[in-house]
Amino acid sequence: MSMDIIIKIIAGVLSTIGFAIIFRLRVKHIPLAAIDGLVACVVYFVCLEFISDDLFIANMLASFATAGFAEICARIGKAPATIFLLPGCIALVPGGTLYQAMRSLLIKDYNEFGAQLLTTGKVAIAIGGGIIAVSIIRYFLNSFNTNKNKNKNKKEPA
Amino acid sequence: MSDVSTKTYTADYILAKALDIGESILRCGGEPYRIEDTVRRICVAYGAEFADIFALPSLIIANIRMEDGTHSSQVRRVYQNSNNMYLLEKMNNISRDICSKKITLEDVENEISKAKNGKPFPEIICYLGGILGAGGFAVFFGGNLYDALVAAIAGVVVTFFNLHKTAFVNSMIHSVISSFVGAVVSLALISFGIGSNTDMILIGVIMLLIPGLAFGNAVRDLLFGDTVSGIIQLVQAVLTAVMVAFGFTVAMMIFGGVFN
Repeated sequence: MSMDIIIKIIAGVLSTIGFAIIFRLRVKHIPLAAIDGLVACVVYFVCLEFISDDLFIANMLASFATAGFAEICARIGKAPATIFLLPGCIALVPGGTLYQAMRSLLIKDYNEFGAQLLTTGKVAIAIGGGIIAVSIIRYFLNSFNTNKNKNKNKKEPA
Repeated sequence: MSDVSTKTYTADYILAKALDIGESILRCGGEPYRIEDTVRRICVAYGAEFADIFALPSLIIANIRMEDGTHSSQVRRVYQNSNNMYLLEKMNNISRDICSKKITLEDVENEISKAKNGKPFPEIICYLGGILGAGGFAVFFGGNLYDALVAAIAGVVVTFFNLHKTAFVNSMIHSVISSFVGAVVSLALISFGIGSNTDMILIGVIMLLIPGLAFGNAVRDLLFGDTVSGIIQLVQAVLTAVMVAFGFTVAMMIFGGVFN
Protein backbone atom coordinates (compact mmCIF):
# COMPACT_ATOMS: atom_id res chain seq x y z
CA MET A 1 0.00 0.00 0.00
CA SER A 2 1.42 3.31 -0.98
CA MET A 3 1.80 6.36 1.23
CA ASP A 4 -0.95 8.06 -0.72
CA ILE A 5 -3.55 5.52 0.33
CA ILE A 6 -2.47 5.65 3.97
CA ILE A 7 -2.92 9.43 3.97
CA LYS A 8 -6.35 8.97 2.40
CA ILE A 9 -7.33 6.45 5.05
CA ILE A 10 -6.25 8.84 7.82
CA ALA A 11 -8.25 11.63 6.18
CA GLY A 12 -11.25 9.32 5.90
CA VAL A 13 -11.09 8.48 9.60
CA LEU A 14 -10.78 12.17 10.51
CA SER A 15 -13.84 13.02 8.45
CA THR A 16 -15.69 10.12 10.06
CA ILE A 17 -14.94 11.69 13.44
CA GLY A 18 -16.14 15.03 12.07
CA PHE A 19 -19.42 13.52 10.96
CA ALA A 20 -19.76 11.66 14.24
CA ILE A 21 -19.69 15.10 15.88
CA ILE A 22 -22.14 16.52 13.36
CA PHE A 23 -24.52 13.62 14.01
CA ARG A 24 -24.08 14.32 17.75
CA LEU A 25 -22.88 10.97 18.93
CA ARG A 26 -22.19 10.64 22.62
CA VAL A 27 -18.53 11.25 23.26
CA LYS A 28 -17.93 7.69 24.44
CA HIS A 29 -19.28 6.32 21.13
CA ILE A 30 -17.07 8.46 18.90
CA PRO A 31 -13.96 6.19 19.11
CA LEU A 32 -16.02 3.16 18.07
CA ALA A 33 -17.51 5.14 15.17
CA ALA A 34 -14.00 6.17 14.13
CA ILE A 35 -12.89 2.52 14.09
CA ASP A 36 -15.97 1.75 11.98
CA GLY A 37 -14.89 4.48 9.57
CA LEU A 38 -11.38 2.96 9.53
CA VAL A 39 -12.90 -0.42 8.61
CA ALA A 40 -14.84 1.21 5.77
CA CYS A 41 -11.78 2.98 4.33
CA VAL A 42 -9.41 0.03 4.69
CA VAL A 43 -11.80 -2.48 3.10
CA TYR A 44 -12.62 -0.02 0.31
CA PHE A 45 -9.00 0.65 -0.64
CA VAL A 46 -7.90 -2.98 -0.21
CA CYS A 47 -10.72 -4.08 -2.52
CA LEU A 48 -9.82 -1.47 -5.11
CA GLU A 49 -6.17 -2.49 -4.88
CA PHE A 50 -6.34 -6.28 -4.78
CA ILE A 51 -9.77 -7.63 -5.70
CA SER A 52 -11.35 -5.53 -8.39
CA ASP A 53 -11.22 -1.95 -9.57
CA ASP A 54 -14.98 -1.92 -9.95
CA LEU A 55 -16.55 0.70 -7.66
CA PHE A 56 -19.69 -1.39 -7.17
CA ILE A 57 -17.90 -4.37 -5.64
CA ALA A 58 -15.56 -2.24 -3.54
CA ASN A 59 -18.41 -0.16 -2.10
CA MET A 60 -20.60 -3.20 -1.52
CA LEU A 61 -17.90 -5.07 0.38
CA ALA A 62 -16.91 -1.94 2.30
CA SER A 63 -20.45 -1.14 3.36
CA PHE A 64 -21.00 -4.80 4.24
CA ALA A 65 -17.93 -4.76 6.48
CA THR A 66 -18.93 -1.40 7.97
CA ALA A 67 -22.47 -2.51 8.75
CA GLY A 68 -21.17 -5.78 10.20
CA PHE A 69 -18.70 -3.95 12.39
CA ALA A 70 -21.43 -1.49 13.41
CA GLU A 71 -23.42 -4.45 14.75
CA ILE A 72 -20.39 -5.48 16.82
CA CYS A 73 -20.03 -1.87 18.03
CA ALA A 74 -23.69 -1.94 18.98
CA ARG A 75 -23.03 -4.93 21.23
CA ILE A 76 -19.94 -3.30 22.75
CA GLY A 77 -21.40 0.17 23.20
CA LYS A 78 -24.95 -1.02 24.03
CA ALA A 79 -26.59 1.35 21.54
CA PRO A 80 -28.47 0.91 18.23
CA ALA A 81 -26.23 -0.07 15.32
CA THR A 82 -27.37 2.92 13.25
CA ILE A 83 -25.45 5.21 15.56
CA PHE A 84 -22.18 3.68 14.39
CA LEU A 85 -23.25 2.88 10.85
CA LEU A 86 -24.21 6.43 9.87
CA PRO A 87 -20.81 8.09 10.48
CA GLY A 88 -18.95 4.90 9.56
CA CYS A 89 -20.38 4.75 6.05
CA ILE A 90 -19.92 8.43 5.36
CA ALA A 91 -16.55 7.99 3.67
CA LEU A 92 -18.24 5.78 1.05
CA VAL A 93 -20.92 8.31 0.13
CA PRO A 94 -20.51 9.17 -3.57
CA GLY A 95 -20.03 12.91 -3.13
CA GLY A 96 -17.08 13.00 -5.51
CA THR A 97 -18.93 11.54 -8.48
CA LEU A 98 -21.93 13.74 -7.75
CA TYR A 99 -19.68 16.77 -7.91
CA GLN A 100 -18.06 15.53 -11.13
CA ALA A 101 -21.52 15.05 -12.65
CA MET A 102 -22.45 18.59 -11.71
CA ARG A 103 -19.24 20.02 -13.11
CA SER A 104 -19.74 18.13 -16.39
CA LEU A 105 -23.20 19.61 -16.66
CA LEU A 106 -21.73 23.06 -16.14
CA ILE A 107 -19.20 22.64 -18.95
CA LYS A 108 -21.88 20.97 -21.13
CA ASP A 109 -20.17 17.57 -21.31
CA TYR A 110 -23.37 15.54 -21.32
CA ASN A 111 -21.74 12.14 -21.89
CA GLU A 112 -19.57 12.59 -18.83
CA PHE A 113 -22.60 13.93 -16.91
CA GLY A 114 -24.60 10.77 -17.60
CA ALA A 115 -21.68 8.50 -16.79
CA GLN A 116 -20.94 10.19 -13.46
CA LEU A 117 -24.60 10.33 -12.51
CA LEU A 118 -24.98 6.61 -13.20
CA THR A 119 -21.85 5.92 -11.16
CA THR A 120 -23.36 7.87 -8.27
CA GLY A 121 -26.53 5.79 -8.44
CA LYS A 122 -24.53 2.57 -8.78
CA VAL A 123 -22.47 3.35 -5.68
CA ALA A 124 -25.62 4.26 -3.72
CA ILE A 125 -27.19 0.93 -4.65
CA ALA A 126 -23.97 -0.86 -3.68
CA ILE A 127 -23.94 0.80 -0.24
CA GLY A 128 -27.61 -0.04 0.30
CA GLY A 129 -26.97 -3.61 -0.79
CA GLY A 130 -24.11 -4.06 1.67
CA ILE A 131 -26.22 -2.71 4.53
CA ILE A 132 -29.20 -4.87 3.63
CA ALA A 133 -27.03 -7.99 3.52
CA VAL A 134 -26.05 -7.41 7.14
CA SER A 135 -29.69 -6.73 8.09
CA ILE A 136 -30.74 -10.05 6.57
CA ILE A 137 -27.99 -11.95 8.38
CA ARG A 138 -28.95 -10.29 11.65
CA TYR A 139 -32.61 -11.11 11.05
CA PHE A 140 -31.82 -14.79 10.58
CA LEU A 141 -29.51 -14.89 13.59
CA ASN A 142 -32.19 -13.21 15.72
CA SER A 143 -34.93 -15.63 14.66
CA PHE A 144 -32.53 -18.51 15.26
CA ASN A 145 -31.85 -17.29 18.79
CA THR A 146 -35.55 -16.80 19.54
CA ASN A 147 -36.40 -20.27 18.34
CA LYS A 148 -33.63 -21.72 20.44
CA ASN A 149 -34.74 -20.01 23.61
CA LYS A 150 -38.43 -19.25 23.87
CA ASN A 151 -37.93 -17.53 27.23
CA LYS A 152 -36.12 -14.71 25.51
CA ASN A 153 -39.14 -14.15 23.30
CA LYS A 154 -39.82 -10.73 24.78
CA LYS A 155 -37.11 -9.00 22.85
CA GLU A 156 -36.52 -5.35 23.49
CA PRO A 157 -36.50 -2.78 20.69
CA ALA A 158 -33.29 -3.09 18.75
CA MET B 1 -45.26 3.09 41.02
CA SER B 2 -45.33 -0.27 42.75
CA ASP B 3 -48.51 -1.70 41.23
CA VAL B 4 -47.66 -0.64 37.68
CA SER B 5 -48.29 -4.05 36.20
CA THR B 6 -51.79 -4.34 37.59
CA LYS B 7 -52.89 -0.86 36.57
CA THR B 8 -54.84 -0.68 33.32
CA TYR B 9 -54.82 2.16 30.85
CA THR B 10 -57.25 3.03 28.10
CA ALA B 11 -56.26 2.19 24.54
CA ASP B 12 -56.18 5.88 23.60
CA TYR B 13 -53.79 6.69 26.41
CA ILE B 14 -51.39 3.85 25.65
CA LEU B 15 -51.29 4.62 21.94
CA ALA B 16 -50.81 8.36 22.56
CA LYS B 17 -47.81 7.73 24.79
CA ALA B 18 -46.35 5.15 22.41
CA LEU B 19 -46.72 7.62 19.54
CA ASP B 20 -45.00 10.32 21.59
CA ILE B 21 -41.94 8.12 21.72
CA GLY B 22 -42.31 7.11 18.06
CA GLU B 23 -42.54 10.73 16.98
CA SER B 24 -39.45 11.66 18.98
CA ILE B 25 -37.45 8.82 17.43
CA LEU B 26 -38.57 9.79 13.93
CA ARG B 27 -37.59 13.41 14.55
CA CYS B 28 -34.07 12.56 15.54
CA GLY B 29 -33.43 10.42 12.50
CA GLY B 30 -34.77 6.95 13.30
CA GLU B 31 -35.69 4.67 10.42
CA PRO B 32 -39.42 4.05 9.79
CA TYR B 33 -39.16 0.33 10.59
CA ARG B 34 -37.63 1.21 13.97
CA ILE B 35 -40.64 3.40 14.78
CA GLU B 36 -43.08 0.69 13.74
CA ASP B 37 -41.23 -1.81 15.88
CA THR B 38 -40.96 0.44 18.94
CA VAL B 39 -44.60 1.57 18.93
CA ARG B 40 -45.81 -2.00 18.43
CA ARG B 41 -43.68 -3.32 21.29
CA ILE B 42 -44.85 -0.65 23.71
CA CYS B 43 -48.52 -1.22 22.83
CA VAL B 44 -48.17 -4.98 23.16
CA ALA B 45 -46.34 -4.61 26.48
CA TYR B 46 -49.35 -2.70 27.82
CA GLY B 47 -51.93 -5.21 26.75
CA ALA B 48 -52.76 -4.52 23.14
CA GLU B 49 -53.87 -7.62 21.27
CA PHE B 50 -53.33 -6.21 17.80
CA ALA B 51 -51.13 -3.31 16.86
CA ASP B 52 -50.96 -2.12 13.27
CA ILE B 53 -48.39 0.62 12.84
CA PHE B 54 -47.35 2.23 9.60
CA ALA B 55 -44.61 4.82 9.61
CA LEU B 56 -43.35 7.13 6.89
CA PRO B 57 -40.60 9.73 7.23
CA SER B 58 -43.27 12.34 7.90
CA LEU B 59 -46.26 10.40 9.23
CA ILE B 60 -47.18 7.65 11.67
CA ILE B 61 -50.52 5.85 11.37
CA ALA B 62 -51.44 3.49 14.18
CA ASN B 63 -54.38 1.36 15.19
CA ILE B 64 -54.47 -0.89 18.23
CA ARG B 65 -57.07 -3.23 19.69
CA MET B 66 -56.98 -4.13 23.36
CA GLU B 67 -57.82 -7.50 24.83
CA ASP B 68 -61.16 -6.16 26.09
CA GLY B 69 -62.10 -5.17 22.54
CA THR B 70 -61.64 -1.39 22.72
CA HIS B 71 -59.99 0.28 19.76
CA SER B 72 -57.82 3.29 19.23
CA SER B 73 -56.61 4.85 15.99
CA GLN B 74 -54.32 7.81 15.89
CA VAL B 75 -52.28 9.66 13.29
CA ARG B 76 -49.18 11.77 13.85
CA ARG B 77 -47.74 14.22 11.38
CA VAL B 78 -44.01 14.62 11.98
CA TYR B 79 -42.14 17.68 10.82
CA GLN B 80 -38.48 18.43 10.57
CA ASN B 81 -36.23 15.41 10.65
CA SER B 82 -32.62 15.70 11.63
CA ASN B 83 -29.82 13.33 12.53
CA ASN B 84 -29.32 13.49 16.27
CA MET B 85 -27.85 10.20 17.40
CA TYR B 86 -27.65 11.31 21.02
CA LEU B 87 -31.41 11.75 21.18
CA LEU B 88 -31.98 8.58 19.17
CA GLU B 89 -30.06 6.57 21.75
CA LYS B 90 -31.84 8.26 24.66
CA MET B 91 -35.27 7.65 23.13
CA ASN B 92 -34.34 4.05 22.43
CA ASN B 93 -33.41 3.57 26.07
CA ILE B 94 -36.67 5.21 27.18
CA SER B 95 -38.69 2.89 24.96
CA ARG B 96 -36.85 -0.12 26.39
CA ASP B 97 -37.58 1.08 29.89
CA ILE B 98 -41.25 1.53 29.04
CA CYS B 99 -41.44 -1.98 27.65
CA SER B 100 -39.86 -3.45 30.77
CA LYS B 101 -42.10 -1.11 32.83
CA LYS B 102 -39.25 0.70 34.55
CA ILE B 103 -40.91 3.95 33.44
CA THR B 104 -44.62 4.42 33.92
CA LEU B 105 -46.68 5.83 31.05
CA GLU B 106 -47.34 8.93 33.15
CA ASP B 107 -43.62 9.66 33.25
CA VAL B 108 -43.06 9.33 29.51
CA GLU B 109 -43.59 13.00 28.73
CA ASN B 110 -41.26 13.99 31.54
CA GLU B 111 -38.54 11.65 30.35
CA ILE B 112 -38.81 12.82 26.74
CA SER B 113 -38.47 16.48 27.65
CA LYS B 114 -35.61 15.64 30.02
CA ALA B 115 -33.82 13.81 27.19
CA LYS B 116 -34.46 16.69 24.77
CA ASN B 117 -32.77 19.16 27.11
CA GLY B 118 -29.63 17.05 27.32
CA LYS B 119 -26.71 17.57 24.96
CA PRO B 120 -23.68 15.34 24.32
CA PHE B 121 -21.41 18.39 24.03
CA PRO B 122 -21.77 22.16 23.62
CA GLU B 123 -23.05 23.43 20.28
CA ILE B 124 -19.70 25.06 19.49
CA ILE B 125 -18.05 21.62 19.13
CA CYS B 126 -20.20 21.06 16.02
CA TYR B 127 -17.95 23.53 14.19
CA LEU B 128 -15.05 21.20 14.91
CA GLY B 129 -17.12 18.50 13.22
CA GLY B 130 -17.56 20.73 10.17
CA ILE B 131 -13.82 21.46 10.08
CA LEU B 132 -12.85 17.79 10.33
CA GLY B 133 -15.54 16.65 7.89
CA ALA B 134 -14.84 19.12 5.10
CA GLY B 135 -11.07 19.20 5.58
CA GLY B 136 -10.82 15.45 5.84
CA PHE B 137 -12.76 14.86 2.65
CA ALA B 138 -10.72 17.44 0.74
CA VAL B 139 -7.64 15.31 1.52
CA PHE B 140 -9.55 12.06 1.04
CA PHE B 141 -10.38 12.97 -2.55
CA GLY B 142 -6.77 13.95 -3.29
CA GLY B 143 -6.22 17.53 -2.10
CA ASN B 144 -3.25 18.87 -0.15
CA LEU B 145 -3.18 20.53 3.26
CA TYR B 146 -3.90 24.01 1.90
CA ASP B 147 -7.00 22.65 0.18
CA ALA B 148 -8.02 21.10 3.48
CA LEU B 149 -7.62 24.50 5.16
CA VAL B 150 -9.89 26.22 2.62
CA ALA B 151 -12.45 23.42 2.84
CA ALA B 152 -12.36 23.63 6.64
CA ILE B 153 -13.08 27.37 6.58
CA ALA B 154 -15.98 26.82 4.18
CA GLY B 155 -17.03 23.92 6.40
CA VAL B 156 -17.37 26.28 9.36
CA VAL B 157 -19.66 28.53 7.31
CA VAL B 158 -21.76 25.57 6.16
CA THR B 159 -22.00 24.26 9.72
CA PHE B 160 -23.26 27.66 10.82
CA PHE B 161 -26.06 27.34 8.25
CA ASN B 162 -26.77 23.75 9.28
CA LEU B 163 -27.11 24.72 12.94
CA HIS B 164 -29.61 27.45 12.04
CA LYS B 165 -31.64 25.31 9.66
CA THR B 166 -34.95 26.31 11.22
CA ALA B 167 -34.43 29.94 10.21
CA PHE B 168 -35.01 28.98 6.55
CA VAL B 169 -38.36 28.50 4.86
CA ASN B 170 -37.74 24.81 4.16
CA SER B 171 -34.90 22.37 3.76
CA MET B 172 -34.70 22.83 -0.03
CA ILE B 173 -34.12 26.58 0.22
CA HIS B 174 -31.69 25.90 3.05
CA SER B 175 -29.73 23.55 0.77
CA VAL B 176 -29.56 26.08 -2.07
CA ILE B 177 -28.46 28.98 0.12
CA SER B 178 -25.93 27.10 2.23
CA SER B 179 -24.34 25.40 -0.78
CA PHE B 180 -24.18 28.75 -2.62
CA VAL B 181 -22.50 30.46 0.33
CA GLY B 182 -20.15 27.52 0.92
CA ALA B 183 -19.04 27.55 -2.72
CA VAL B 184 -18.62 31.34 -2.76
CA VAL B 185 -16.44 31.24 0.36
CA SER B 186 -14.26 28.48 -1.12
CA LEU B 187 -13.94 30.21 -4.50
CA ALA B 188 -13.07 33.51 -2.81
CA LEU B 189 -10.35 31.87 -0.72
CA ILE B 190 -8.99 30.11 -3.80
CA SER B 191 -8.83 33.42 -5.66
CA PHE B 192 -6.73 34.77 -2.78
CA GLY B 193 -4.30 32.00 -3.66
CA ILE B 194 -4.60 29.77 -0.60
CA GLY B 195 -5.81 26.49 -2.06
CA SER B 196 -5.08 25.21 -5.55
CA ASN B 197 -7.34 22.22 -6.32
CA THR B 198 -10.81 23.71 -6.78
CA ASP B 199 -12.39 20.29 -7.34
CA MET B 200 -11.09 18.71 -4.15
CA ILE B 201 -12.07 21.70 -2.01
CA LEU B 202 -15.60 21.82 -3.40
CA ILE B 203 -16.03 18.05 -2.98
CA GLY B 204 -15.03 18.45 0.67
CA VAL B 205 -17.67 21.13 1.12
CA ILE B 206 -20.30 19.22 -0.84
CA MET B 207 -19.94 16.20 1.45
CA LEU B 208 -21.26 18.29 4.33
CA LEU B 209 -24.32 19.25 2.31
CA ILE B 210 -25.49 16.22 0.37
CA PRO B 211 -27.93 14.12 2.32
CA GLY B 212 -25.26 11.81 3.69
CA LEU B 213 -26.52 8.32 3.69
CA ALA B 214 -30.06 9.14 2.61
CA PHE B 215 -29.38 7.46 -0.74
CA GLY B 216 -28.12 4.31 0.91
CA ASN B 217 -30.93 4.36 3.47
CA ALA B 218 -33.51 4.81 0.73
CA VAL B 219 -32.13 1.87 -1.22
CA ARG B 220 -32.06 -0.21 1.95
CA ASP B 221 -35.69 0.62 2.71
CA LEU B 222 -36.71 -0.19 -0.85
CA LEU B 223 -34.94 -3.53 -0.78
CA PHE B 224 -36.31 -4.33 2.67
CA GLY B 225 -39.91 -3.91 1.53
CA ASP B 226 -40.66 -0.43 2.92
CA THR B 227 -41.36 0.74 -0.60
CA VAL B 228 -43.24 3.94 0.19
CA SER B 229 -40.80 5.32 2.73
CA GLY B 230 -37.93 4.26 0.48
CA ILE B 231 -39.39 6.21 -2.43
CA ILE B 232 -40.03 9.26 -0.26
CA GLN B 233 -36.47 9.24 1.05
CA LEU B 234 -35.09 8.66 -2.44
CA VAL B 235 -37.01 11.62 -3.85
CA GLN B 236 -35.94 13.80 -0.92
CA ALA B 237 -32.31 12.78 -1.34
CA VAL B 238 -32.32 13.37 -5.10
CA LEU B 239 -34.05 16.75 -4.70
CA THR B 240 -31.60 17.85 -2.02
CA ALA B 241 -28.68 16.77 -4.19
CA VAL B 242 -30.15 18.73 -7.13
CA MET B 243 -30.61 21.78 -4.91
CA VAL B 244 -27.02 21.56 -3.66
CA ALA B 245 -25.81 21.19 -7.24
CA PHE B 246 -27.91 24.21 -8.20
CA GLY B 247 -26.40 26.35 -5.46
CA PHE B 248 -22.89 25.30 -6.44
CA THR B 249 -23.53 25.85 -10.14
CA VAL B 250 -24.85 29.36 -9.62
CA ALA B 251 -21.85 30.21 -7.45
CA MET B 252 -19.47 28.88 -10.09
CA MET B 253 -21.19 30.70 -12.91
CA ILE B 254 -20.99 34.03 -11.09
CA PHE B 255 -17.57 33.67 -9.48
CA GLY B 256 -16.18 31.13 -11.92
CA GLY B 257 -13.09 33.13 -12.94
CA VAL B 258 -10.90 30.63 -11.14
CA PHE B 259 -12.84 27.72 -12.58
CA ASN B 260 -11.75 26.60 -16.07
